[in-house]
Amino acid sequence: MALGKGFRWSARLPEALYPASTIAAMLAAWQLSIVLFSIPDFILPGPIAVIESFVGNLGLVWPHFLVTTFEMLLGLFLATVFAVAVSILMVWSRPVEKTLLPLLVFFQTTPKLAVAPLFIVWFGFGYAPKVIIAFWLAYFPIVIATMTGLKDVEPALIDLTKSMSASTLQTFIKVRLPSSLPHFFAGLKLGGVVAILGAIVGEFVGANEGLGYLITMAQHNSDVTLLFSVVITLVVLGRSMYALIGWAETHAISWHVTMRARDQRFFTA
Amino acid sequence: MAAAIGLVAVWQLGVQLLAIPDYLLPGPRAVAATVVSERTLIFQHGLITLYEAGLGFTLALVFAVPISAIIVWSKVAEKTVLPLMVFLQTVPKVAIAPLFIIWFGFGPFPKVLISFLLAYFPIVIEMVTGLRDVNPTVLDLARSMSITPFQTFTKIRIPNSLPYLFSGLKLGALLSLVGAIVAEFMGSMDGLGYLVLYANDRMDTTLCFAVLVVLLLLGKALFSVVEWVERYAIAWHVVVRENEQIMFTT
Repeated sequence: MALGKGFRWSARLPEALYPASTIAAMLAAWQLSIVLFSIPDFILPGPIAVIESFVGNLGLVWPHFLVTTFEMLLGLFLATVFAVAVSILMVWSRPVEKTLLPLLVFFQTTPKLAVAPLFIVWFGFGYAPKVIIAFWLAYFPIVIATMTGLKDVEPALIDLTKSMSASTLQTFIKVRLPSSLPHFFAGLKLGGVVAILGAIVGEFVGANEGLGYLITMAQHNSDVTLLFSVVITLVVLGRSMYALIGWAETHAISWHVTMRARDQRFFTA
Repeated sequence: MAAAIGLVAVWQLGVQLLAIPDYLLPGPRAVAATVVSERTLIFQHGLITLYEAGLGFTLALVFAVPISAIIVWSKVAEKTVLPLMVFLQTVPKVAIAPLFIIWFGFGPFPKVLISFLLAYFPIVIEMVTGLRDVNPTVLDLARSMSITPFQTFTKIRIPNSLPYLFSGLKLGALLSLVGAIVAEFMGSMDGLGYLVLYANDRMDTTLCFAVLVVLLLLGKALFSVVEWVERYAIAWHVVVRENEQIMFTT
């Protein structure tokens, strides 16, 4: 859809009504069945009870939220720095690419989360192992996407720069880097989401703070309402991360809106 | 290949030269020896994880295909369901694993549910994309030959969706394994995820590595099985021949 003429709220609103009404209907059915079958809170709290306890638990959840956000952001930051450096290296040198790329592709199709407990053994119960797991998960999509972007340059553009006797470095900075940005941001979005996943699974297997830890605590106490509060927090965190990167993307590559249509299909655990 | 061999060699050499104790980092030789010596233990737990992931994956496939057909068939279904699914993609879904464990206990059932949940989304969304992204010229041609909507579906949309379906299935297979393992982390008494934690608690890092190697191979095997089926089912498709798809898992 062209963003220029078609983008009017009057035209957009009915579209948003469909999912909104689905959610409303689901919530109503949920609340109704809780009341009708008098399901106790410790098995399944109704949406009203969930929202009440979410507000009530804000003070409890907040410090854990900060911990997980910190781990996730640090992991994502390190992953971005390393991934960009490595992908530039791979595009720069053919032997490096031939050595590293098969390994990267190999690890992409493995269950990477399974090694989380190992990092806990090596680095203890603090921040470090969670940051490393978040890094470990976020690194792969970013490095592969950035590399794809750096290589996916219009040949005509390269020819043009060559005909104007641009140096390799100039071609790189003026042509390859800008054209890699749409891919980079697609990788970054996925990286942001999986970094959260890495941080909380790291907290699942060994931690004494963070949202993942809070989830395990709620599980041990069979505190389903607290569990729901944390899950809501994670939804908010995931969504805001995605929106934040999307916002950065629209500002960084406003010239390239068409590229944004392609990153709709990505999947996480 | 050379890189992989080099990596293993450096690993073995580093462990030997620096005299790193096994509980910190076992060398590849020690890990391989443990895979062999603990094979019955690993096999028993592996079967359970494979069962959970396999059942979750199968259920996901069984549910996802008709639902994606419904989504493409009906505009209302598409508008109501699809945005919710796209929304859920940015949510860490494993976070509700504990809820299933509270509800259904420590047995395989909650793991199957999580596997199902993780595998379901890529299959549905890929299949929907495949059913929808039909070359308009083909549709025009079909219409000019007065084809029925049902025939359009069976003769054009479904064959067109197969390559997409298989790319969703590959991801789904891996995610179902991830789901089973993470759910086992959260509470279980068997399965490879449990075995990883068990080995860790005893500081038996060699066993931990052995299980991780098996898990890695298991992931590869599941992936290859889907790829193998794909090669036979849609041998006519170009993507199969190129096979340079980019995909990411956790």
